[in-house]
Amino acid sequence: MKENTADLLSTQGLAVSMRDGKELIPVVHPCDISVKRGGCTGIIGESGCGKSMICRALLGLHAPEQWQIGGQVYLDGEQVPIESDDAMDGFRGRRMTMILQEPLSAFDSRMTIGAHFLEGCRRKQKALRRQGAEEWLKRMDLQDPGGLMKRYPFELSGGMLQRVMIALSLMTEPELLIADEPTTALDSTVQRDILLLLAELKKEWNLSLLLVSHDLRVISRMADRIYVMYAGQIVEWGSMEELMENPLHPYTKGLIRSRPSYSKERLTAMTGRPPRVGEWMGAGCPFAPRCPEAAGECSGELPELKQTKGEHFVRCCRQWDRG
Amino acid sequence: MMFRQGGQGMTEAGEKTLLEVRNLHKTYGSWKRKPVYALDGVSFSLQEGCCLGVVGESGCGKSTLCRVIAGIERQDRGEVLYEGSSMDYKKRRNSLQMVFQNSMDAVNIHLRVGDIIAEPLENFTSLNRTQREQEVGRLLELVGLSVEDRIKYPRQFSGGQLQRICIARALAADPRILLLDEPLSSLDVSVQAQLLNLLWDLKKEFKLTCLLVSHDLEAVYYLADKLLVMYGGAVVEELVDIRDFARLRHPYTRRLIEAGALEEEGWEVVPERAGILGRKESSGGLLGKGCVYAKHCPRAKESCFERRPVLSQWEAGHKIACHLST
Amino acid sequence: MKGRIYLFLPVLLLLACLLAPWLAPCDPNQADPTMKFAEMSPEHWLGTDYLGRDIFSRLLWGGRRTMGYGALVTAVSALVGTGLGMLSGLAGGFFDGAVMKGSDVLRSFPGVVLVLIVVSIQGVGIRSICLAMLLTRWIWYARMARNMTRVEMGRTSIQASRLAGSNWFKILRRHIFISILPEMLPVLSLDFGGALLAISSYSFLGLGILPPEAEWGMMINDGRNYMEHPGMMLWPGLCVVLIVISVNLLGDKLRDRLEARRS
Repeated sequence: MKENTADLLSTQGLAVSMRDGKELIPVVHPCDISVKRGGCTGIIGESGCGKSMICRALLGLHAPEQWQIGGQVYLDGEQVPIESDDAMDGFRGRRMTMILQEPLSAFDSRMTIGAHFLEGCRRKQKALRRQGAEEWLKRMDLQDPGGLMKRYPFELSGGMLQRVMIALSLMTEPELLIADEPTTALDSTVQRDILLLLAELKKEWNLSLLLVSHDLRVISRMADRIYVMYAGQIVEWGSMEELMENPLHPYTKGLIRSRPSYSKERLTAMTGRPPRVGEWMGAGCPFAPRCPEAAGECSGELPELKQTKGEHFVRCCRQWDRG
Repeated sequence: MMFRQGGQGMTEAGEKTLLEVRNLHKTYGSWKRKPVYALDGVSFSLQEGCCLGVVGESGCGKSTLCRVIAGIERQDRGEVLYEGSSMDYKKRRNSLQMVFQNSMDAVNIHLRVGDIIAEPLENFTSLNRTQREQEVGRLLELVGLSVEDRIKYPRQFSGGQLQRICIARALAADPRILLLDEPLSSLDVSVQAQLLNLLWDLKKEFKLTCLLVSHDLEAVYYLADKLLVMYGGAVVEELVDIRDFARLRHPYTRRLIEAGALEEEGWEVVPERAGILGRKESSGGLLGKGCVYAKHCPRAKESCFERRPVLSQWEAGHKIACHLST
Repeated sequence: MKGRIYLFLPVLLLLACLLAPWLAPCDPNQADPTMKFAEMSPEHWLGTDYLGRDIFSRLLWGGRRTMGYGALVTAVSALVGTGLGMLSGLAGGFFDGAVMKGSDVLRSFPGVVLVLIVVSIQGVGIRSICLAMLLTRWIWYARMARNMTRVEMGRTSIQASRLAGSNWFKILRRHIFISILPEMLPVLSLDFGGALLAISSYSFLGLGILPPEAEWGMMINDGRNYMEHPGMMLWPGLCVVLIVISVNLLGDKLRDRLEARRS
């Protein structure tokens, strides 16, 4: 295992905007995120906060007619050409891959599992590839990989399909695995098994993970660095321990408190709902209308993402001095 | 253990039994395919003002249970008793109402919200149009929406708001029992918390009797007084007072609890065989003589595959169906 | 607004035709041998035909028939078809099978052959044409309504409605009908256009409305023999094309509106 503390993936001002006629609606505001080599970075936020948009932007999956992508992405010090579809071929699926939330819809229902593995492969290489695929399936704790290859996606359970998808995306031995809500559609026990598997792979293969979820439990279990997103912006980020023990942004606190945890005391739920895309137009803190700690200064101008101490940044003007 | 909170609609044992379910059986599939046992002898009783939580994973039959009780589906065998006599779905339609899992699909997107909520009022009450409108407004405010939302269409709402509308519609029928089928799944965490609080308030205010079906043990703990754990169409564990939570001991229940736990301790546990075999084969109980969970139980003994454990008293207020616990 | 023109044009034409008895300057069947093939003039706005009849008046009176029968056929077939299809989708089982098989049998006749059969039994005339068209036109509505009803039936909202105490009739009326309506409307207007064309075509072939009564298709047919006087064909042709196009566009617009209003 190579010891290297530098980040494997980092972005500079990565932004996603949606084209609406001539207007541009910002979906993800410029953000800098990074993934440690062999580490796991978690992005947490509610639906519509732009977390999936970041994943898709990293792989250059946005159609340029509809979306405008800004900023730079660096993988291992090398700039990733996210704007050019052709140039991305060297990265997408090879050096960075993605697994999706809904495993069933990610597979072609008319193709066997084996056919998915052999897709785009020359006849001569088929036997070799099949062998490799079976090995990978075995590594995913799946029994009888040979038989599995002959089955169709709908014959498998969600947990199994998710394992197959992981195997499929790791075949090319990528450096970075982007997991967009990998366990959301699964039962909690299966969810745990998948997370366990990902943790094992991370350790064994020095795989770097970018894990996106709305579930704080999932993120806090896996990630060493957490970004909290709200309305297309990173509102707080820091190392896992620091963020979980000492959350500063009211939104982060609200998220943590929102989960019932074997208690019958009334939950302190956040009121209201997050702004929809394009609803919040940049005056003041986007969270201010829902924030229990909001004051006059919050509606002034957008607070910056400021460091409080060590690896802990927060975008809240009332928290900077508390750190 | 948690301390008791006053005025929470908590019921003591011995109160009037409102709903009783006896030995429900329901199978899906035809003679061509192997039948899947969605419900395999489920029995329980629900007291007035009590909230029963049903926990289990997809395919364990908990949704089927709801639908059979609501009268959407017919059971193959067994009885649903309402106030001691067999439930008459024609006469007492309004007394059992249900909130569905997918709120977007549970409302007709072509109707205005006011009309959606007014539907039970039209059928069950003799209110005239203006009275109905007033009632709809009251219900909307009760679930935390505004009266003006009456004239909007469902697509203008988020999932959480729609679920509130569904709750309002269910309450419009003035039900005695509310069946909540996974009301929180597919919602964001903060919205889940808001809805949980809404249900908590409703329960407290109206002493609502409800059946909460969920895969989320923590959410169930928050709302429910009683707990049923289901696996493969059968009840594997029953707890009369959910606050005795620590006493749960069925291997499946333990695994469920560990899966949800934040702590790292659970990590060393050997992954369940189910995860590897794939639950597709095991969803629903396949007719077998052994324990429903035996195939996936990390602690299964030989006897587990041979005899079906019966749900039996383990200690006061705690029943369990497991050979290892008798 | 741009979209209004689709509504405006057919409504204008329809109104004009409805008010034909008052609007038409001349008797449409009044022949005047001295005024054969007259040019456009203040007396005869669009000139006269080979018998010296006023084309404008004939257009108005003819439109009454073409559109009237077209609307009748469309309305009856849509009502019968949608109703039967919805019931069939709701009931399922034997009834569903019987209705669908019945429609298959009817559909296996080519339309023109069916028309000829009916005409040979009933004799030439608009009644035979309408009857023959009704026999086949309801099938499309029935099939569409049936399939959409099946889809709607699978929704949780129907179960919720049952729980809310609504009976099947109410569910059919309030939930299913309202859900399939936005899909049916464009079909309805397309079909109206089709019916207009069909009636005109059969009259053109001499199977529908009989002379001397005016009808657009028949007017075109008359004009065919006098190509040197294009007005005789041009005006009724233009009317048919205009009304069919605008009715089709209206259908699309209507659907867009209904969809937009609900999202």
